[in-house]
Amino acid sequence: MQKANEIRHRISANEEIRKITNAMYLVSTSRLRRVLQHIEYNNKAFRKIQTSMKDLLEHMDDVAHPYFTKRSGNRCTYIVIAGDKGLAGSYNSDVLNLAMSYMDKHGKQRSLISVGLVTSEFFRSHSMNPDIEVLGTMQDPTLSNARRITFDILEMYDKNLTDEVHIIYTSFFGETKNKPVARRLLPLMISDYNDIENAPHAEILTYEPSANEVFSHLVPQYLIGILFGAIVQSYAAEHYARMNAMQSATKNADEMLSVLKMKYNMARQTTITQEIIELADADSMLLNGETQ
Amino acid sequence: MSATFELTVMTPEREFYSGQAEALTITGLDGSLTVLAHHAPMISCLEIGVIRIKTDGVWKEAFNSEGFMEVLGNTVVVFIQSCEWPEDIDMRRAQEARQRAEEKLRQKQNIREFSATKIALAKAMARITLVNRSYINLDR
Repeated sequence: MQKANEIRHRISANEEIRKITNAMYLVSTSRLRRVLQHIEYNNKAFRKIQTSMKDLLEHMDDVAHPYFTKRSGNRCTYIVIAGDKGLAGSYNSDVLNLAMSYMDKHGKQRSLISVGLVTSEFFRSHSMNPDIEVLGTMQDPTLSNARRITFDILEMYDKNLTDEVHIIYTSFFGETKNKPVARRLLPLMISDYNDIENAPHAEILTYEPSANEVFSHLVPQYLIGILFGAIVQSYAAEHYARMNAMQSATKNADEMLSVLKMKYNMARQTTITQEIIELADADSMLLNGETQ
Repeated sequence: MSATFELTVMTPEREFYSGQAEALTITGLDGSLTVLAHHAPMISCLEIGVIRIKTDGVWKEAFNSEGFMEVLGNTVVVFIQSCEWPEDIDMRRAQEARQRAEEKLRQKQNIREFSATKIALAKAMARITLVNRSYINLDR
């Protein structure tokens, strides 16, 4: 009897866990679906800014803008975006490992902006304390959060506290796969715009009030665009990873449950058989006693 | 009906407006500016304020934060960080933001905080004035 009880206990525990994984799967699926339209639109909007930026660069007499000047120092700021929670397959470890190797390769005096709880804990366990921690953003990727981070880094850059700013996040390529990427945010370089198509016109635009002023206005918006895109894509990637992880966890739980249920039935059968044998034995012993 | 142009108002989060318009007034860095159909190509910055869109002879107003506008051919694309119709503005939130900003301005701040507060105040004020004077596209 003991054994059947034990198995029954395991079955109920398994069922509880299956409920949780299944619920997480459903939540991630719905969040992913919601954020997908966002990404498509965000890409479109961002391409628009990029085209305008390129156009502007081609028409500016000189790009002696502080955001375009490469500084000689070697202080690097890294923005690393990972999740607030685990249980998302290899999502967190992939992007954090890339961050580690990328930072080692650039091997400079570094400061760190960590987005997501897992990121902060990861770097702390590697004895690198994040300088700025952003929590909660990865559960609710809003524009105002992206804006706050952008203003932080622009302030650091303006005050000459850093020479380069890099961002490491997970890009979300359609529905095929997640890919962690690292790229430079600041300083901007003209070569960044090589692969962007030209605006489809040959007319010369007038800039109101002046090209340089328009450009200074555009840079923060461009950066906000990149950051918001990175956050939204990471969010989608996280939920995509979690959706897959939880789907396979639910499947595994189902398999385990069917095996356990079979075992339970067998154990129950065995105990019943055992009891019948014992009863029959006792009966025959009693009968024997009576006849003697 | 007068000549129209193709107008798109985009924010990073959504497409705010898309369609034909007769005129568009924005708040530029040095004052407001109206674009009609077949305007010369230009790019202009937008100050926090109000954009006005004229369609079918009716002006519609909306709050806008900082952004830029591109006029090219007969199409105008306005790219703004955030944009709201007056009926979508949360008046209480705007007033709270205004109080917060005014309170902060009374205290000592560094330059960055000061400019951030100024922006917050400008946004709150723009929202409040828009709601207060707007009767055109308000069906309340």
